[in-house]
Amino acid sequence: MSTGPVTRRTIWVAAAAVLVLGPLALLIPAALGIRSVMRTGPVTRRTIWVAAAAVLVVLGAWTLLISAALGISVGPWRPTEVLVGALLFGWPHALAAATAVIAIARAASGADGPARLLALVSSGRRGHRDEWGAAMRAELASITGPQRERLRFAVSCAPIALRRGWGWSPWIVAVACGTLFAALTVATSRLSLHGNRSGSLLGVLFGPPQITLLLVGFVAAWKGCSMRNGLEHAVPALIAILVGVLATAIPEGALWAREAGVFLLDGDYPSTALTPGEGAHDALRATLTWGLLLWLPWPVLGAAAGARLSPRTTPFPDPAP
Amino acid sequence: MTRMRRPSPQTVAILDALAENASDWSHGYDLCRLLGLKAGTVYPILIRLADRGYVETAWEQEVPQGRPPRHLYRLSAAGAEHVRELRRAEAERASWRLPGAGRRAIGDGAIAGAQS
Repeated sequence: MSTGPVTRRTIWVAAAAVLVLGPLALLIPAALGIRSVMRTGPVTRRTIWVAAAAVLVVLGAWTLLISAALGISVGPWRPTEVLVGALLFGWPHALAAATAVIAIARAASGADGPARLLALVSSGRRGHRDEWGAAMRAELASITGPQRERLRFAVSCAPIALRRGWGWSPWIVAVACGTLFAALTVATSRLSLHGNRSGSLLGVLFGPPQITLLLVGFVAAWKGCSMRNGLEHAVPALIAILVGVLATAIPEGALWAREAGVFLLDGDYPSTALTPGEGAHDALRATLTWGLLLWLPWPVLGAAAGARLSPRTTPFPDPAP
Repeated sequence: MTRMRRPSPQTVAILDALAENASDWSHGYDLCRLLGLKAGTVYPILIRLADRGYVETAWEQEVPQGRPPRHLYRLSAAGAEHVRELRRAEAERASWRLPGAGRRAIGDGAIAGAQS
């Protein structure tokens, strides 16, 4: 948000963007249907309760955040408006938190902490790629010594199991996404600067990154038949988009301040004369808050949906006792 | 003659241990205990050696009740040849050094140091 007051227009544009994305994500709860989740993995009623608690915590945090933000910049708002705002902005985060809780509970199956840790970090591999994870899990099962020894083995193996199998494709996707969004930021900025000067960053931050991250996570998870594969592609893509937008929005924000004297985000006029430094700072702050904050859940949602809808494949046979 | 990249001391130790029991299968955890190395060191080396074809892997066939079969490792023919090359290269390097200047010997599992 620009350093000027939060305008109603900004709020409505943001709400409309979230509402447009909503129908896409309706697929996710349908795909995750709680009964089928409980059938297909070690997900207990307790897990469902923890997931529900995570949803409440996330929505509570959004309520506090929105009431604080609006209270500071606009003045007193009615509680119902704050709650509606929290639901509008926070539902993807709440859904992602619940999805993450269920996915972690499903992956982290084991007799004790070390077994659950190793199962979690080595989960989501298919075929031959999971063989080494299965080897470490089997080796851990053979360690009957003190719990400390089992924990030491599991902790030592965890980084290897976590890293194992990273190929080039996440980096290629990340570079492509970063470049695309850097170009998009510059192109929309220059078009708007030479046009109606109504600001352009808002249109880049709301919508396109969410859709991109959802698609990257979905396709990678669907293709790799695992949520982990989706996250391994979508998280680097998120970081690359952030870097791409920041690297271009900051100098463009300074340029807008110099050439037009308004904010790059939404074309708002500042209350006092805008310096290039302030313009750059506003672009940085807007990208980190209204950009990054709203992008965070989409890799998780895309990866979860992709994994859920992917053709079932058999993981490397984890030799059962 | 192609120049062979010198493996890390940990890789040498694992190759050494596998070469000592060339006909027998070894377990990952046993290698960790035998060599005093962490699993986080041993497994990446085993993965790399297996990818290069120096180590054969298999799953335990006769499994005691109550635990899953373990993954087994032993030196392949290519691995045995690699160890021989390493030993030759080590011997060559040692012959260029002054006596008592320190020598890492593969095969006998010993470090003949300056103290000897």
